Amino acid sequence: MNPFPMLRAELRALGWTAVAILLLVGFASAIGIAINTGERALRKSSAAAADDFPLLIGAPGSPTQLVMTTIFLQPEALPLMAGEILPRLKADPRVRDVAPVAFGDIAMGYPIVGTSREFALRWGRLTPVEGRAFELPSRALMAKPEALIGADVRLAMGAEITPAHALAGMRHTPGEAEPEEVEHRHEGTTYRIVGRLPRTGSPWDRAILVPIEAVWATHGLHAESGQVPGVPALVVRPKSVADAYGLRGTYRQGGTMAFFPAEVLVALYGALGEARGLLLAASVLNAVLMFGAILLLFWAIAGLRRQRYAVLRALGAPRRFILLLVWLQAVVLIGAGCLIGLPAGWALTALTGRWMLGETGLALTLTPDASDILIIAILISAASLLALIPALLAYRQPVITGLTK
Amino acid sequence: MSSVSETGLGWRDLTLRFREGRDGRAPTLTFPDFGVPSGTALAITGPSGCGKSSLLNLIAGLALPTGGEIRWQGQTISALGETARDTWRRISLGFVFQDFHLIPEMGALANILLPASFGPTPDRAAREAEARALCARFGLADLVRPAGTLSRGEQQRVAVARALAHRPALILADEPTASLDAENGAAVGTALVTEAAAIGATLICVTHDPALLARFETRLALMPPAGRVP
Repeated sequence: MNPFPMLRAELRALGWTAVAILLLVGFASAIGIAINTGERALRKSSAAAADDFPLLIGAPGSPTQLVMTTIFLQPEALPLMAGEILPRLKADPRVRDVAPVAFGDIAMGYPIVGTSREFALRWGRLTPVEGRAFELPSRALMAKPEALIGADVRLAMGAEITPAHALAGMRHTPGEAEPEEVEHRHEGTTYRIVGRLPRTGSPWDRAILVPIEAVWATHGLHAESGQVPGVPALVVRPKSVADAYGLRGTYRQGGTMAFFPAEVLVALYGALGEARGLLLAASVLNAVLMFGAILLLFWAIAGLRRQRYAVLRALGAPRRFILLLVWLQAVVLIGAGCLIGLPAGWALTALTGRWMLGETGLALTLTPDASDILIIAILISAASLLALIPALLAYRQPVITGLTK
Repeated sequence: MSSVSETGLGWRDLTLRFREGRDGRAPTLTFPDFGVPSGTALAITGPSGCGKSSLLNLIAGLALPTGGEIRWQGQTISALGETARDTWRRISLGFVFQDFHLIPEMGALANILLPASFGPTPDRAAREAEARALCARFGLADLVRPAGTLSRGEQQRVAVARALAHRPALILADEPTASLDAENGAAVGTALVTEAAAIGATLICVTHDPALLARFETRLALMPPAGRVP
């Protein structure tokens, strides 16, 4: 038995309806794939962005907010902790490196992050692709401190920028000085760009990194006679895992909170995972409902083609030929639509990733994996089962009724 | 003429009862006992409603008789199981319909070879050669053009070729010229009768066409059943 010549004729007879079915199924399955790959890419990329932040210390408050502001540079007003924590940590034998991080200013729509030269170079991991790292400001340099920019900051070497106080809800467009920014400029402070960092795929790619001393100076704070001004966040690189847990325990009290960013991310992934599960279930249900609608269409088509199938039976086609023919039509169209949905879903994720990069600076890493194939396999299996309904209807159709139609 | 031939086609005590209609009556067709030897060309005539098409469906095993039997070369068609009847139709039967019933999206050759896709066909190359030869004899030049775009005369010639290509022992034709003009009807009638005779097939043809009827020496006139309006 070879149903394929007849199958080709059946599909040709469907014409544009077949194309519409392919596109509808492709779109429905692409949404499922995009949810699956998108969530996975978000996890990977956000985890990679947090790699440079082994232990975070800040003033008591929301760890999630501290992570969002410090790692993902989402503008929020963070409470300051006492500056004396920084020298205490520097002296702690369990600490390999510690860096203060300060936020609150923007220039040309890019966030300004005050930190140490060492952390700007992520403790030796990064080398500027252009120029050099900023030098610590001497009194002479304080009037025009140096700045190191992330890979996606569209400013030229040697350019001079004036920072502005970033207010909550302030509109800012990367590369542009909005009127609100101009209005809140710290006149008298100018940063000169001396270097550009390589791309890391994190929101820090669109940050302007400056010496934290310059940020303090801009805000009228000075580290004089060993007195360190307050800082919103400290990034700590412990010497060992044991030291990391020890430091976390020590700095969870006495006016500070300490945590591993992974703790916050895992909690976020948990919520994200639940949301993904719901969205995925909804998209699969949506696809199955669409299959149902399409199979109803096949049911109607099988009814309309009753005479055609009766003629095939009169010419010697067994019942199972008709069953196979109607079933294959549905499975081939829905299956091909699902297979189109796989790369279409990846493309949708890539588009979402591009949008997300533009919005947050976080580069999504698209990595197709077996679970995408599994989703497609589930959809095709569901379609194959449901396709039996119109196929059985055609199978049971009496020949004489069809012939005398 | 024997009513049930062991070497040909025949039927005895044959009745077909239809489902009850809205008026609560179940019309029943009764066919006179009849038989023809293999290789006969038989024309069946009769008024509308006398059961000509139903008789063809009974012979083809598409409908099962309520009473009596139809025998073909020693075996009772209605006693065969459904799968055996399907196989019998595919191998031993050719069917020509009034409205051609081609697959309009397929070319002439694909239509003619379509029944070969319903089951095992060991002589596929020979079948294709036979199909091409039939097309040549029937004046069908374009074998790939979708059948739906062919003229009515060409379509019926393709349908006749489809019924003949596997060299069946029995050919059933239901008003094969009724949808055609006189010229095409004559061409199709000639092709059907001549080719059936050439392969030694038994031809059972329902027709009202006097020109076609004139080609048949053996004829069976069915009468309208009692109680049915012709």
